[in-house]
Amino acid sequence: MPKKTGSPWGRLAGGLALAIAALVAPTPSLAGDAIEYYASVDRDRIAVDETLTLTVTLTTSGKEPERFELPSHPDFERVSESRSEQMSLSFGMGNAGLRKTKVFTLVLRPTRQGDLAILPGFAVADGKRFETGRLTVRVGPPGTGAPQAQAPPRRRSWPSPFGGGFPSLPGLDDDFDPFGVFRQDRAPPSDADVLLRATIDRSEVYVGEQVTLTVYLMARVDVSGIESLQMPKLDGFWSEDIEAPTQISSETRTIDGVAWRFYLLRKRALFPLREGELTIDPSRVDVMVGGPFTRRVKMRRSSAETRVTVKALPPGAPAGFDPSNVGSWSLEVEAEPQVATPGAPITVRVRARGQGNLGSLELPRLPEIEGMKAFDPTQSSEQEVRRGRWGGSRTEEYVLVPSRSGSFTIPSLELPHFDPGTETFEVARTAPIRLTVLPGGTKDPAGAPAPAPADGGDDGDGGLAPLRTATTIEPARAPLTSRPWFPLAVALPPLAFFALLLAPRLVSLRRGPGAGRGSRDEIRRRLAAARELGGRRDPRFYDELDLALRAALAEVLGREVSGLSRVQLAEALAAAGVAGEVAREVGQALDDCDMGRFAPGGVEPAEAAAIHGRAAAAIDRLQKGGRR
Amino acid sequence: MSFDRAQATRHALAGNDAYAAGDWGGAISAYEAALQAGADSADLWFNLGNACYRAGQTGRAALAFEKALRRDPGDEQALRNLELVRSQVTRGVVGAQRPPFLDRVGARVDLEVASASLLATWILAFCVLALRLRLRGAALRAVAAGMAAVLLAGSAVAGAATWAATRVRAAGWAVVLTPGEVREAPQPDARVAFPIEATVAVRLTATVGRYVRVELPGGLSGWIEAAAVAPIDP
Repeated sequence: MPKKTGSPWGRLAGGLALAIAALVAPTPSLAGDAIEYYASVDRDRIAVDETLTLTVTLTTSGKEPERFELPSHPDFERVSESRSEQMSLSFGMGNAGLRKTKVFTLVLRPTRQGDLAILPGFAVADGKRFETGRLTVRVGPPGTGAPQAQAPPRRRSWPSPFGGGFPSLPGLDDDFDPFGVFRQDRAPPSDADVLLRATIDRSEVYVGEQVTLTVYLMARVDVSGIESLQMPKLDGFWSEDIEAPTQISSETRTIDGVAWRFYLLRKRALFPLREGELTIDPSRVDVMVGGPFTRRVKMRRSSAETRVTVKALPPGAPAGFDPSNVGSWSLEVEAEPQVATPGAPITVRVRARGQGNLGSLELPRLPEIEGMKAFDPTQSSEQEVRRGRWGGSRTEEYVLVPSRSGSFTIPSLELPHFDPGTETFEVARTAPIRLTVLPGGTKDPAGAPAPAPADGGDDGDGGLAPLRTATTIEPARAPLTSRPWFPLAVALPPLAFFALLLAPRLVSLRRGPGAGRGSRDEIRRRLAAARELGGRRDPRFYDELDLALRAALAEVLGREVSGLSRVQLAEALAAAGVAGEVAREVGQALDDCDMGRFAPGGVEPAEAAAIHGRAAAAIDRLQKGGRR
Repeated sequence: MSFDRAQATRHALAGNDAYAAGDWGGAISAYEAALQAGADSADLWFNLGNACYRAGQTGRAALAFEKALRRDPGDEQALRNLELVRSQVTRGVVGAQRPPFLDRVGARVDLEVASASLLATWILAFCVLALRLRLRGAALRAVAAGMAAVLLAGSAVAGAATWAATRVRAAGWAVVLTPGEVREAPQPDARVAFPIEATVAVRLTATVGRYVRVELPGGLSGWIEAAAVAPIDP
């Protein structure tokens, strides 16, 4: 570490002396020439697909130069240019006065690779010549450019009223802006901050081939509005708007390390109408620059002039080629209906689709067809932009009215055109269409058989399904539902079923009371009760069993059996067709019951079960018929 | 009407020959003669429809295709031809509406098949139920009950189809044969309600003198001369 020498007072005195000397001494720039003229580039090595910024500064002290020229750049294309002026008042003991500084900012794009020169500009004042000096830039192949110096920081241009300002916060620089809104707007924008560019997508095209002109604004400051855009006249071109935004919106791109906002102002498809070198004049725009917290500034910007080399179409055009048919086109023809009657109109549409100058496209004419009157066609167009290429479809609609019946043919139509994509002549063709005019009444169905469905073939050209040669010949038959027996046939099954269901009951009803399902239920109930009573040694067991037997007999005989002797009962059962063996089993069961009821002592469960079993079996056989 | 198969066949073949020769009028006459001989098949009506269409008689062609479809509702070619004829005439004019959904369903049902199915399933179902009464054993009775349920469900579907088909055939649908004017009253000097094109399907709802009241699927109605329309179903 160097050692300090001298006392503090001595160092202070020395500093004061230097300060006084600086104030009194003449300012170097003013003491010499009255003009300062110099130029600089932001980079001395770029790629051929990059741009560089040439800044030319001319400072004068009051008097304007007698002659003045900017540096020339024969190997560079001027992309945009801007100009600004500043006035400043300088004070000094030796010299003081008003100074004017003009700054010209040119954005240049190299036209080739190599060491390219920017030749000196000059200014002449008071008989003296001032030159900017020759600048050399090395232009390499794409992607080899040196990184551009970061855009100069846009520091505040007015001094702080607090001198050095507040001390910085630890870790933050002087420009710290916690909300990020003032940083860009603190200094007024310079001319290099806003550029207008007009580019074309190709510089060499054929006559009639599309060139897309894009005009956009590049800015690295806030743009608050676009006041007016003046597009060039575009002499020698047919032009169509592809994009004409009504609201400005931007996208951010980084170019050489600098973030720019790109505002698309207009995109146009240009179709050269003649060969040769055509010039697209500069576009101009008024831009409002500034944010909500800063002064708004109106700036006028203009783009550079652009040139397009237009080549003539190659030789070898096919017959019937119209020079305005340049593009990629297809051709189609449709007729509706294809089957008609005399006097009924047939609509024929000739349609071209594709990409190219739709406005100048010439469609082939429909030839005259003998026996058909053709009316003048009506034209319609549908424009569309696909992947930036202008195009769409153009339709000519003819109305043909056949004057007689017969077959007619719309011949194949041809659209010769030059396709710049393949750089060849092409011919779009259509297939012939056959029209059938049928004899018939003068009033034809308003139009038109629709095209035939794909399946099943058709009858001629009309879309009619074909005649059936293998015709089935059948007599007329009344439908089943209208035949007299149909309602009966529907009604019979349910009637028969219900009759089957109800027949036993009806039989029982005819046989008298106690018969039928009700008596069977009673028999079952009484048998069940008897079984329970027998299990409990209850003497009423025999009464219930006797009643069950008598109910079964009443069901079979159709009358009450109380009071009948055994002989009478046997006779009645025999008369009813009951087998003698069954009648005997029933009589035996009745006797068991009588014996049990009148015999002394209780009921033995085992004996009761045996008697119950015999009685139930007899009843079952009786109910099943027990017929002889 | 007595059916003479030989004569009907002869006429039908003569119609085909005339059609092939481009004699549409001759073909129409021959097919109509075949119908007069008692023939009444979907094919014959179809061919008559084609001949009428060729002759420019779109109304009669639509009627013939409708009749062909009545006899064979699954005839896709007849349906296609009918749509073709209608599409030429009724495009954007009064009467272009479709009939109600139920009528469209009914028109697509083969009445013979539906009614025969109804009878078969109905009779079988009750036979199975009757058999079940005599069956002993729970399993057999359950199987019989299941079969009867399936058959009754089938007869319900067949019955619904029969009802829809019968309904549409009894609804009085007709086809307009010649274009004309539908009037607000059954009088020649009554105000014109709307014009009507041939091939339009209408419902005939009343007859007064030589006028019939027609009702369009869209709800429009009025009076037209009876000769201008022909019923699809006799």
